[in-house]
Amino acid sequence: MRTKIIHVYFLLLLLLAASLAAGSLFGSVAVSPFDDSRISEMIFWGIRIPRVLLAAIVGAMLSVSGAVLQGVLKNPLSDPYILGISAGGALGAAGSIAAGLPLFVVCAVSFISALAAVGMVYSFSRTSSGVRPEVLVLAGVALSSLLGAALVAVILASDSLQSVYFWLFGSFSFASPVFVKIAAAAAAAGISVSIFFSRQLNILLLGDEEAASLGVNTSAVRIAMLSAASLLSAVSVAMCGIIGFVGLIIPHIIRLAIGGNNVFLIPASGLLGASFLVTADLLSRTLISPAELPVGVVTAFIGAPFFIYLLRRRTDV
Amino acid sequence: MILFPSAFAFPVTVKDESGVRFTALSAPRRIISTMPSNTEILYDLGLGSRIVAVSSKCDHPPAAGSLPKVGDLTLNAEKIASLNPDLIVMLYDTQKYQIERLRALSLPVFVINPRNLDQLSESVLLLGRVTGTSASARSLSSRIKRGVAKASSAKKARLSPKALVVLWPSPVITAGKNTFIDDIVSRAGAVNLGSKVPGAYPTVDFEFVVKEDPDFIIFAGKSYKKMQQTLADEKWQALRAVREKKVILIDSDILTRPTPRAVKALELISGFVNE
Repeated sequence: MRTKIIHVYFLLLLLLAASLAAGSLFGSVAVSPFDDSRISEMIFWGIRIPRVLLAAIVGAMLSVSGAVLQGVLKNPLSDPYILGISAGGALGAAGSIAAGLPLFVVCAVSFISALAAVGMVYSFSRTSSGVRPEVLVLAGVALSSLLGAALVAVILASDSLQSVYFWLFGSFSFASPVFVKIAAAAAAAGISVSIFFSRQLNILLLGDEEAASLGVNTSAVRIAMLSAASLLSAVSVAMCGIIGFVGLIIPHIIRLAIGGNNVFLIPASGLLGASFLVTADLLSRTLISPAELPVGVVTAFIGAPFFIYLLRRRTDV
Repeated sequence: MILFPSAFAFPVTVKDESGVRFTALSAPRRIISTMPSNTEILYDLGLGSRIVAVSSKCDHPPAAGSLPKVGDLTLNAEKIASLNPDLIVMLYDTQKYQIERLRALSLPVFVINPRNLDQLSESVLLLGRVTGTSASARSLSSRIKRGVAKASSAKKARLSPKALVVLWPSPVITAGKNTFIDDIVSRAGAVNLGSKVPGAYPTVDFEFVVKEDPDFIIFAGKSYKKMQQTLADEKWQALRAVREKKVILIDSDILTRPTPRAVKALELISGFVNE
């Protein structure tokens, strides 16, 4: 098993390097990093590189967030948005777009309302004996529907569908060096917390009593992991809208390859998620170039068939 | 008489309609237009040969359709930068965040925002100044003003008739208050029913339409046959305007785009309402 894990990690690093290279070198316009004309420089360093890096960081953030939530909530259907993050973030974005606020304010409001939504879901599901995962999931689904309805009302009242569109289907077109820096800081914080508590998360899966008898502070681990996952998803929703599929499927693909040990699963999900989203974004900006496909459409189109194939192959054996 | 007025007009600094100052050192020669309406205005100013790319929705005049494309809802920043434009004409209300994004890349964005026919002639003058085509802009602008004044004067001094604009028939989507369409309809001398409903482009309940029973229906579309199919429906036959054939079909492009062609829409509606 250990050599297999090393092989898989090696492969994942190779994949990430290849996708970063492809994402940087290809696009709707042919430019080379060695071309020093003002225009090529602006396209390569000002537009393309920030976009590729943001896609990589967000891919890692969503996949780690999904892996963590699937563990904490003990639910294989958990994705980064299950606790109301997407609905809260989109509603915040739509509200501030309707109010005519500038882009960075829209992102900030989207981030805050995404966190507010998780906070509400969390407070709904707290009982005297701590937070119960199944209640969290159901409260998340309920609040998401409520906020989703409010989102439709805001869009209709303000006629802002064209601008909100980016948040609803996901896009990296707004990537800038500032976005990359903020995302990198959030990713570093959220992913390190997730990796730090990954061993305790394994123990948590044995059941609360068992974990407690092994000296694990179950509610502390749960809160730390939920906070890390929420931070990761809220930042990505604020910067590039809702990108489905990645956070749900990537951890499962890793599980099929190396099993469910969170110590290996969480970092590997981050690596694969980064390569996957860089590739999906490359396709989204080149397939119907110069127009762009929403990246969420691409992730589902290439990801879903591939995952079904893996699933079938696994069950045939 | 100055022989080459445009040569003396530069460098020029103009405050655009998003409040940002734009300086053109010389007459722009590599123009990108990101909205169908702006493309039409630029062609009307005689700038067709200086446009290097347009949005994929730009289809008028037909020559615009064969130019390179830079996207529509999402603009392709790489493609735009690679064309090395010296002027990118954009529309504020629908492209606010795209404008912010391109400005952050220091691209030469110039924004207009005509929300009604009066503002349209102002926007035309502004575009004329920044492109060095002030003379054509002045004549285009006064042509718009004359057309609007003439069509508006046909207004009869009686109780204003009620008109329903149908942008989409099922469910009925209409144009609300302060939209470009609202301006056209009220200048034609009718009361735009949609202005009673909150929102820019509200979806309205058919019960509201039946209750208000408009005197005229303005159907935005391109196909007479499709309109007839819609109106044949029992529900639509319940309306007095449909039974009395007080329905007019207007090409949605000339009704919804803030361009000089909108004057034609105003003339048609005014003639129809005041006949």
